[in-house]
Amino acid sequence: MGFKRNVEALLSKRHWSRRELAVAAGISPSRISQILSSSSSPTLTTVTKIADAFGVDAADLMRDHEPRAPKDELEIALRHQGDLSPDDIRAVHAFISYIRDVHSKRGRHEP
Amino acid sequence: MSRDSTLSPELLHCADVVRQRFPRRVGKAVVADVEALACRLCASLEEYPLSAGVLACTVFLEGRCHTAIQEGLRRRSPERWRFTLAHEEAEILLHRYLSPVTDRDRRERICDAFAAEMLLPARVVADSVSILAGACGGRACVDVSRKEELARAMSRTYGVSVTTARISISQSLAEAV
Repeated sequence: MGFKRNVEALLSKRHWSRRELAVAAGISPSRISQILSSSSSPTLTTVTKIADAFGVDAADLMRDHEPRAPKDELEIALRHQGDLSPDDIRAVHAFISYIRDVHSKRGRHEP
Repeated sequence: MSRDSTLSPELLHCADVVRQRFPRRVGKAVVADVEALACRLCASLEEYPLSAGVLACTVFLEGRCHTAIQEGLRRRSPERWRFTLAHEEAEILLHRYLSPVTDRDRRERICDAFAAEMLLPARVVADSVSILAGACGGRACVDVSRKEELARAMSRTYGVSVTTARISISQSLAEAV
């Protein structure tokens, strides 16, 4: 049960809603709710996506203690019309991945 | 766009400071030069292929802000693009102030109001409304067609959408009652 508790703890620490996590992870909000409210286990792919969204190691997220400090601090502000559709989530997630990619490349080149 | 007339005096002052530090002169009025402000605030500002439902997105990563605005919006509607950019800038400028505001709709309203205050200050609208009311024989006598005429003129002059101008004029008229 470490995974769900860790996700809830990180949501609270980041002041994120489940919807924001969905956007950052590129997963539908309903899937996030399903994972956090049911007893079914998430797939490894889902765990990895959620861990990436928080910037923590997937293995840490599964442990029975709180994950170590995130590798990066991510927050998102969105301006959108109506509810977020799967296309909206995919598009924003792609932008976040692009920024993270640029950021990590820059980090590698900086002394 | 909705404009929250309850923008606090502190936020009104903050918008005033932004206008003074990043000025764009329109006649005698000073509005904010949102592009100059973006150069200072954003580590990157991009046109990005966001979906139809998402106008803009700002990612805060390790203390740097990266803003994406829907691809093609600037070409299709420069006024909407400017307002959207101003809204994202409000998100960045008010980031700490807004962090305890968990109600997303309220947060959006505050950022909309702040964006409007940068681009079309309430004081400027109030002055124009006073002149119009004087010409019409009182605020109560300002009819819909006169309001529309003023909204279109303000839209052209200040580079905001007609909707933004309409809302600001209606609020200015309502506040004076």
